[in-house]
Amino acid sequence: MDARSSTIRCYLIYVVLDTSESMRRPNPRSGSTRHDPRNTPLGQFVRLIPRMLRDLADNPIINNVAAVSLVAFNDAPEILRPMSSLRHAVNIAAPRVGYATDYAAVLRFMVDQYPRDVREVCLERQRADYVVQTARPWVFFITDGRPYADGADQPAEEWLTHRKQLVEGEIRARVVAIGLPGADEDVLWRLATGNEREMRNAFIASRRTDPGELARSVVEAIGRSISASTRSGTLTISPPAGMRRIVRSAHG
Amino acid sequence: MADLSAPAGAGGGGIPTVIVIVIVLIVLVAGVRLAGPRLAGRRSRAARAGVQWAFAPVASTLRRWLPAGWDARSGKSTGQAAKPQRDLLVRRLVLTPSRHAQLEPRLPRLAVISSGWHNAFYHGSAGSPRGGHLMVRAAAVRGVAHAVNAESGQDAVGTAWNERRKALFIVVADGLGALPRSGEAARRATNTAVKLYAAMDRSKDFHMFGRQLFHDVASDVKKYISAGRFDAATTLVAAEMRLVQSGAVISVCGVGDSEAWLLHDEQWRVLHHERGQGEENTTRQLPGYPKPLVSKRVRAPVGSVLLLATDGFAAALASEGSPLTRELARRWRKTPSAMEFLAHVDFVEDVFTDDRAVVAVWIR
Repeated sequence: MDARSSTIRCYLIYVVLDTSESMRRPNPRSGSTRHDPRNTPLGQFVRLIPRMLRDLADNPIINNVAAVSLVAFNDAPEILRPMSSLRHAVNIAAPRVGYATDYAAVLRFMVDQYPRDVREVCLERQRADYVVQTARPWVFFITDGRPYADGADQPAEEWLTHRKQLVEGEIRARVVAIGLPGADEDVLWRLATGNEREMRNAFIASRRTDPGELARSVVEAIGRSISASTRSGTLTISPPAGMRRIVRSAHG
Repeated sequence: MADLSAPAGAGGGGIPTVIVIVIVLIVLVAGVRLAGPRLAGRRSRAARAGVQWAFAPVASTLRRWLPAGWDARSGKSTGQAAKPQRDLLVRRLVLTPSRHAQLEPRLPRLAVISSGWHNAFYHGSAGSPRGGHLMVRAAAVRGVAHAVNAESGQDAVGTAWNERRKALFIVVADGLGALPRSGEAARRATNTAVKLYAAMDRSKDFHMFGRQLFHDVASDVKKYISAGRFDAATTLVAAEMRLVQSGAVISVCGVGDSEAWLLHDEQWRVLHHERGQGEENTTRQLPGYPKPLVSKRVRAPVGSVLLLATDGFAAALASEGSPLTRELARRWRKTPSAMEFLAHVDFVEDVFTDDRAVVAVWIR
């Protein structure tokens, strides 16, 4: 980039939601014997994420620079909200029922989808006299399990290959890994990206936290992060309430 | 003479009553307009205002009938289409027209402003009015992005006149948004820079001195934020303008994504920038990177404008043209008033919402 042209920067943000079978288990602390889909971690997120997007869309600065996509995955990945500006009201689909937690499939899907999303966003924002530039994408990855596909644990090398393509090379995505109770600390740490001081954006929930409260605090933390990061241009996130940052050495 | 009592259209070949009424009204209004100044001289202002008030609806109606470009006072066509009024917000309130030319104050030896919770601006001239001189306009505007989030602005701008060197020093600083108290670092860096420059010897070379200045400013900012136990950082871009025959010699050095531009003959040329050198929105900053990028010396002719700006403003400039560069090239042929300048710095464009600190110097 040089000073010949004036550049408009915009941010592509992915919220990736694990919709595997464990996310559809009811909250045991609710005391209710009847199965209510709203009383599951998935039900909470499906209710809270659209609200968060509506709140962000009310901010004239964020809705000007941010485009958001909601991606779900279990046996296979799917787009619940296509990548588009928050200025536009976009229908959010209900996730399909599935059982596995196929990290490799969703990470590969995002690697393939990213160039299409960039084209779409640039086209949507194209204006005479300005060059549209997309910043490194930000990924908020919410999961409660470990990589699992085809009836077995998914080998790390299988999904790490796609994770590498996503966070290195052309795309260079920034990944925040948010682990609900049941998630694997090591997996979260390997999935997340961080800074040069090896502090990664990987968070794990305390088992004592109420699942409903946790879902709320995760969505609030993502909303705050999008709000602060689009202002500063750099992805920053504080640990959601009821969660802690996973700390370990890069080689540990 | 037409019979005014006759109904309209009556009287065979007589002049229609409506036309007669219109002619009478034109004569009355013209008379009042011409007599206005004399009335003001002889009678009270209240009496004059009363006469004008009484005829205002009639004059207003007549003005609507007159063709565009018609001067009602002289009764002649001006030969120009009526232009829409521009910049109404930055016109001064004139109670009594002044017989004096607008006064341009002498620039203070040191001046620093910042955006904080408000917009700020100042102006003045430096140098010798008989020889070459510099007209300075400076403004700091709190960005919309900060305002809607109830956060303070983080940019600062400053100037210093060094009489020993017969030179002007201008500087802008942009506190890093990722660190909430960076506005304090920007103000501190700007303050320290102008003070250091004001004490600079005549014999020193600015390029050499500039390196030392950035090093000293970085040390000072580091001490300041350590003492306050907070984290903050700022960009800093500075320029010296030395008056020479038929223009000025400009030296620029800086750390980070604030920029220096020269406008001459409606053409913009970038003198200093670091676009595309950082990942994401990251930029070099003080106190982290005390070594400035030093740009080549440039001789700018009389009529040029040197501009230093933080990225909230500079990002909208482009050497191959942008809406802002084109608009300013046209508007800055003449030095704008300080309030016009503030309005220009506060330009409206939805995609540019960051704080803006800008200083522009017209070489006269």
